[in-house]
Amino acid sequence: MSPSALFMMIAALTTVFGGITVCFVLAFRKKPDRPEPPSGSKGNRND
Amino acid sequence: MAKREQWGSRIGFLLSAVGSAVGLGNIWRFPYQAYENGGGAFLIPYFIAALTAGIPLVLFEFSLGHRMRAGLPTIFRRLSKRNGYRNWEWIGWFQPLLAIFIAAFYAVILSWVFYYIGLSFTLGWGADSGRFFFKNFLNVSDSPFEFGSVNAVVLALTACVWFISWLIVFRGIKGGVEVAGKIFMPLLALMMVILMFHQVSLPGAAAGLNALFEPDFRRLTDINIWISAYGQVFFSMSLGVGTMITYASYLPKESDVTNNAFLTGLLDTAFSLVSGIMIFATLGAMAAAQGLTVRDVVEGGPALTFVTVPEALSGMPGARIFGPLFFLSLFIAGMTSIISLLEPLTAAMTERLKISRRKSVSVICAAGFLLSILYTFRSGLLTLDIADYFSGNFGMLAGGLCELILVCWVLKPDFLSDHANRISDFKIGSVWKFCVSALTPLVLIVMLSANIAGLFSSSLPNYGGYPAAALFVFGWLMMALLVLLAAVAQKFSAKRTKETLLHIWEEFSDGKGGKP
Repeated sequence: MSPSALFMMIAALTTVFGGITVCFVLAFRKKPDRPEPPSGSKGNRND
Repeated sequence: MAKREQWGSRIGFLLSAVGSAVGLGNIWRFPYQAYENGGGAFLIPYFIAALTAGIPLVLFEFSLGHRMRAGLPTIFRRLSKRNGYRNWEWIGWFQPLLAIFIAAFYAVILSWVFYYIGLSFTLGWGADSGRFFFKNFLNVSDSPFEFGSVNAVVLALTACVWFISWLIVFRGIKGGVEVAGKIFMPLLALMMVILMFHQVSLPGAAAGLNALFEPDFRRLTDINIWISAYGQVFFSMSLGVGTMITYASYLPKESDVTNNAFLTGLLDTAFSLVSGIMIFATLGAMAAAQGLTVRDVVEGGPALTFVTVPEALSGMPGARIFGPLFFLSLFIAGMTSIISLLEPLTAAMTERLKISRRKSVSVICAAGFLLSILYTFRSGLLTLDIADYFSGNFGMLAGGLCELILVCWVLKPDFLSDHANRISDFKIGSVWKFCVSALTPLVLIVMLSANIAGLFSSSLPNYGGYPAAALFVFGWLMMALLVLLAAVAQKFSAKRTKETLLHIWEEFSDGKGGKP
């Protein structure tokens, strides 16, 4: 493969998969404990 | 009032949303678009388009669906009524109806893929894959009006596709769509990665990758490249047909929509890149084996899938394993998209016409199958091509533009950004508002105007070389019928539901956001 094509391929893959990794880490990291919702509320954080 | 369905888990929603976005277009459209528009240099406008239009629009649709927690007709009805405008509900019907129109020809393409899964075990297309596909299998007629007979194999397999779709959507969001997403998407990712590594290892694959990624930066000054990039992003992320809005409406109340939008957009782009590498490695290997250049063998669309890839497979080691794997990947990518296309109308009929989900899904699938029959005749490939062109270049663009103009220009998008910021980790602000209020509508207007001008220009040949009457009947007339049906559905739903303003406010105020 030519160096410029290889560079573009690696840059594209790194950007996309790097972005996905960051988003996944942020999405599924453990959140600090939140105060209990008042009784009767419908709090339902789905993560 | 019946409790609204919800996704069982965040990962289930994500996989289903990505499944909706990833479809045949990622595999047969993106690689060809990239190759034709400057190779590696195309990736620059593509990423910019994804960041400034694709992901902001996915976020817009997720926020709208999640904020309003309803199907499209209900959303547009509430937005218009609450702000004192005439009823916009018909726009909310147009997009779900367009989705079914698309699903009808999509199911027929999937029936071809279904047939090719079996065929690839024996490489049954023979030495001339082009002749096999166009003559022996489809026996394509010379004109869209020359219907000929129904292709019994295609008809039977189309019925199977509709039956599988019905079976999944019938079981509901959590028990059907989410389960399908959790099974199909990891399987698809695994198969694509296996295929990619195998194809890249073939002799000559590097020449294909060079053709795809070699950047021609001079092309970046060409405005058409940028329009192609924005168009590809818009079509690829399932925007403008209401699937993302409807899927997001089933999210639990405290769900991070911003991060979900980024993940959906990035995962869709990842599938496109992996497909591009797989397809161009295959083309490179094929060109090397035949002593040709990649330019001599490259194709886009159905010809790539049903002619070029089979031909490439015939001369490759392990073709009887990797052939079925390729077509199975294509089938799964298509199935997850067709499932999502059924959901907007299902939600609309359930809410506005008060028909149960199971009845709605059954009626939609039966109607969709009947429409699919139109594309199973000998003229099917031609009529399908026209329907695909009009639904993508006019229907989806107009649908997306309408929702942006109504929400961002007539109303203000602040209620959506406030809502997204309240429940999400990433905060959005003026950049996002600029993208959805100014940049994306402008790009959509340019694309729509260029498409309309192209169709009516006397100096340009008709699209695909089809007669004007065929474009009128299978394109314009179909679009007009969808608008008419949307208007009828609005009238009909007004009689079936008596939704008072008090009821709307009570349900809406539960969301704790600002007034839309």
